[in-house]
Amino acid sequence: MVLLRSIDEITVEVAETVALKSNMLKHALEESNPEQFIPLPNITGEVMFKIVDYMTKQTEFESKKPQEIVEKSPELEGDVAKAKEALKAWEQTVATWEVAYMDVSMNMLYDLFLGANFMDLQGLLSLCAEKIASLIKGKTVKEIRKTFNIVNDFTPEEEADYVKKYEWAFTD
Amino acid sequence: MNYLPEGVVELILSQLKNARDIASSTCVSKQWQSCVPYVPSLYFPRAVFDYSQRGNNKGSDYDATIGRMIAEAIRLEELVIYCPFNPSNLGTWLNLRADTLRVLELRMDGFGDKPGPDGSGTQLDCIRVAKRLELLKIWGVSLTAAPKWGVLKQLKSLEIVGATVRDGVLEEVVHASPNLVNLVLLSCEGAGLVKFELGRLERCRLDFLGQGNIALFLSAPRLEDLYVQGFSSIWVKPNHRIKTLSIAKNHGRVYNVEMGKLAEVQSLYLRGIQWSWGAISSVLQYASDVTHLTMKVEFCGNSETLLPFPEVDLVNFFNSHPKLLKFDIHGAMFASFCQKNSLAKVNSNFVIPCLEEVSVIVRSALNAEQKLNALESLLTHTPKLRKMVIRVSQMKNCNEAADDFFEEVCKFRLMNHRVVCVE
Repeated sequence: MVLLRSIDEITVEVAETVALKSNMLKHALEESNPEQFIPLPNITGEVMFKIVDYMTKQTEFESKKPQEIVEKSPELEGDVAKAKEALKAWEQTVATWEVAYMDVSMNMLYDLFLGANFMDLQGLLSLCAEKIASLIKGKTVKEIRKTFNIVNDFTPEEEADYVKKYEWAFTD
Repeated sequence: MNYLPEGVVELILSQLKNARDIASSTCVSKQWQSCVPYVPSLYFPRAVFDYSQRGNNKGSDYDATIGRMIAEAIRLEELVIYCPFNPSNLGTWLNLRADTLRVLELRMDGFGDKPGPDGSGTQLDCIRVAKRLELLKIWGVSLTAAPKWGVLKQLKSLEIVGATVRDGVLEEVVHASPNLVNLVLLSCEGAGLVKFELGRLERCRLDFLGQGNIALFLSAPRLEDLYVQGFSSIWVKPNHRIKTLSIAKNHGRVYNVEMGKLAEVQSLYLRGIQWSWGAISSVLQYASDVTHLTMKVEFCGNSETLLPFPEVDLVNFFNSHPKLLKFDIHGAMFASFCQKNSLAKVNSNFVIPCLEEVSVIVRSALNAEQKLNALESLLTHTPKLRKMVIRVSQMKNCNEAADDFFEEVCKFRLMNHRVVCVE
């Protein structure tokens, strides 16, 4: 088992197979004492549990992934088709779970994104990036700044230049 | 979200493709602006500039915007332009990103073969600079003169939709892309002969419009999927790996199909108004190992006269296609099983070993008794049959005979309700 501790001193135990999903934990485990807690300095307890939830579920999904049969002879043709169907159904299950998982508040999304980056969890990082991108699509500049609480750090002259060049990005 | 680490904003923006979203992102903050040059895709939808409130259409302004965004995206891999643009600018844009561009999709609005900006060649010649191109898709293009592309070695997938072509032009286009794995030519017209050879082609879809006689000569030893529509004469060099084959002719006639033994074919679809019986029988003969067969040819005959199919012996047919798993039979083919001697060889030893699903479309009540006998035979001699669907559509003779026949079909269904259904 692997022991993790969040910035607000909350701890959790995670199976080693699950922990290895995170590249950061993989390296940390090579160097640390198994009795010690691995600190997650940038991550609160709530976010830590959410990330552990992701890693646990992904490990579970991986173990249930249907095998793909490589077609070797005509007799196996029916099996190949069935294997393809099973794989498709599995992918659908994973996708449905991911959509529900990513239904989070803006603050959680931000923390999750940073957490996934810190822990080097490629799958979760991509999911977060996709979710954030989906919140950008179709919005004007002002709407994007408002959604994500981003400060406009352009000078008025720079801003005016952009309005001129990309006028259509500013209009509703 | 003001304090995101390096690379993370880049990851977010790399999920965006729509040019308007990328333009918006450029203006959000300095950090976002610094990541925009790394976006891998730019997609300009048809109406992307309709948001502008500049009043009259300022095409040159829009082209300037396109050019600016392409210039800023230094690692651009994918460029899709569906909005109207001036083809003379294409060369400049492609030159900017020749080193990184892998995917190019353009809506040409009928341009293509007009002279290029310097007065020579064609407007599409400039594509030759994009040496790393792997996928090229062009909509609505005029190809009456062959573009000079040199050799695009990396091009694996070429799709041309809605093209006016001339004989020989397609051959030159294909010649310029010798490593194609996927070739799609849809809604094309103007050719009388389509001929090419591609050593690596695996998937090919050709759809040619018009009633006339168009011939196809194709040599592709690695071909696995072939869909053709519109050809009256088809010749495919033998020794290919075709697994899925679809031959259709929506207007006019199919006279001739030669492709050697279809040793690996699994799915076969034959469609059209009229095929010569010689063509039908030779394809059926080549495809003796077929598992999924759909026959939707309405008539046969080699001339203007539309003829029904000749008699086909049921036993011979199924013995020559012993691996059939699924069979969709349109009226004309089904009627050929329902002639006087079609069921002559049916006896208790006759078995259709693998057939699991049959779908029959019945158009008329002619030979009603034989039709029911054929259905009975199919049911009795098919141990693995799970489903038989009988579609009774557009009965040609709407009279008592048709009603009686329909009643018999319903009785047949009732007696075999676990397997048979009527639509």
